[in-house]
Amino acid sequence: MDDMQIVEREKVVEGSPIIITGLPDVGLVGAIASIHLIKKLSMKEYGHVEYDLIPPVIILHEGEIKAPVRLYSKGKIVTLISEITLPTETLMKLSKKIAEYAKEKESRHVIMLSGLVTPNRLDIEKPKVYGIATRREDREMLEKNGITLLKEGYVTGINALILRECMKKNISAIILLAESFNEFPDPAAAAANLEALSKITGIKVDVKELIVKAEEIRLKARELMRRTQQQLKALKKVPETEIPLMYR
Amino acid sequence: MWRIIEDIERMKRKMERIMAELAAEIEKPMWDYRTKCLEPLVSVKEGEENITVTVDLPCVEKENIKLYATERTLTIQATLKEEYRSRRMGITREEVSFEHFKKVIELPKDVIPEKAKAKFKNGILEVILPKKISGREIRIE
Repeated sequence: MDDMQIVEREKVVEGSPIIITGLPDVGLVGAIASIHLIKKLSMKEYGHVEYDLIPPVIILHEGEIKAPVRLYSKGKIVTLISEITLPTETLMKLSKKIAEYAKEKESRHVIMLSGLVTPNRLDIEKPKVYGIATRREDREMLEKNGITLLKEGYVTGINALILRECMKKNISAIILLAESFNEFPDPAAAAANLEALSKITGIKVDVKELIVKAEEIRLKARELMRRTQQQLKALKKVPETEIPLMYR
Repeated sequence: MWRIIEDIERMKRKMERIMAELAAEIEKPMWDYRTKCLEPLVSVKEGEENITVTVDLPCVEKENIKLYATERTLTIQATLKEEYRSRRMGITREEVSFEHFKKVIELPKDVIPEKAKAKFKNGILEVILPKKISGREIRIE
């Protein structure tokens, strides 16, 4: 298949949904947060992404075969997750596809859950969440909800591409970045991210389990974290807090 | 003729990149059920004077960590608070269990092991190893 496709097994998405993405990135913050969201809201798997350059991996769960990049929904919430690190070649296509899908579904917001590498993360008990938004009204909404805007810096990786494609199509896109470890899975940052998501969308999700079971989650997420780190190194990911030369 | 060679080279590079990414997906696991051992995630950063090694050691108490350093390696052994059992660590085995973490880290430069310092907080171990400076300062007259 030359072109990427979002295959919907069932037409379950209700009008103007919020599309949440949690792809493997810094500290696996988005991946941990979105999987927790899916479980806590009992979201239903309804589709997946198909593309030739997605690695030949299938996920087996209780004998059932699942695609690695999947879509879940509940009411007006859609969540996209990937259980594998996606090859660099797929990122551009995926970001375009997400923006196209958001346009087609007349999505209210595309919200990307991610982490912000913080050098002194070890000394931070409760990670702070920063926000980036394509629209002025969304930036104001973030600030009203106590989320500090990231005003200078770079965004790199898949989230930068999704943001760019959403801007092109005039779609409201927001990135929530929780202070996080770079190389280690960070469930506490994922919890902070979901709390911020609740504030701006009203989606209620209990994050206690992410804190209580943090060590177990860290144990289980080691291999995905290692592969994600290899990819981030290959992408030469620049820290979001680094200030571009022109605005120094 | 040159275009064909360029096309072949481009295809070769693309294939190599895909193969490398595939290899990363199927590389050796970070666990060995025969020795009941897990490999921890490690970050090694080289500064001007020190090498800082940070290790993710969830489910471990400070008292159960052993560190050994030589001029060029750092070995970490840590026993888990309790045996970690998982049904999901592998496709064919019903259940596997693990008792400890172990990792031998090759350091990028020679260090002075006896001057190393370590701290452990929230399951993260940080070891700072001063680099061995072999050169001498040259005074400018």
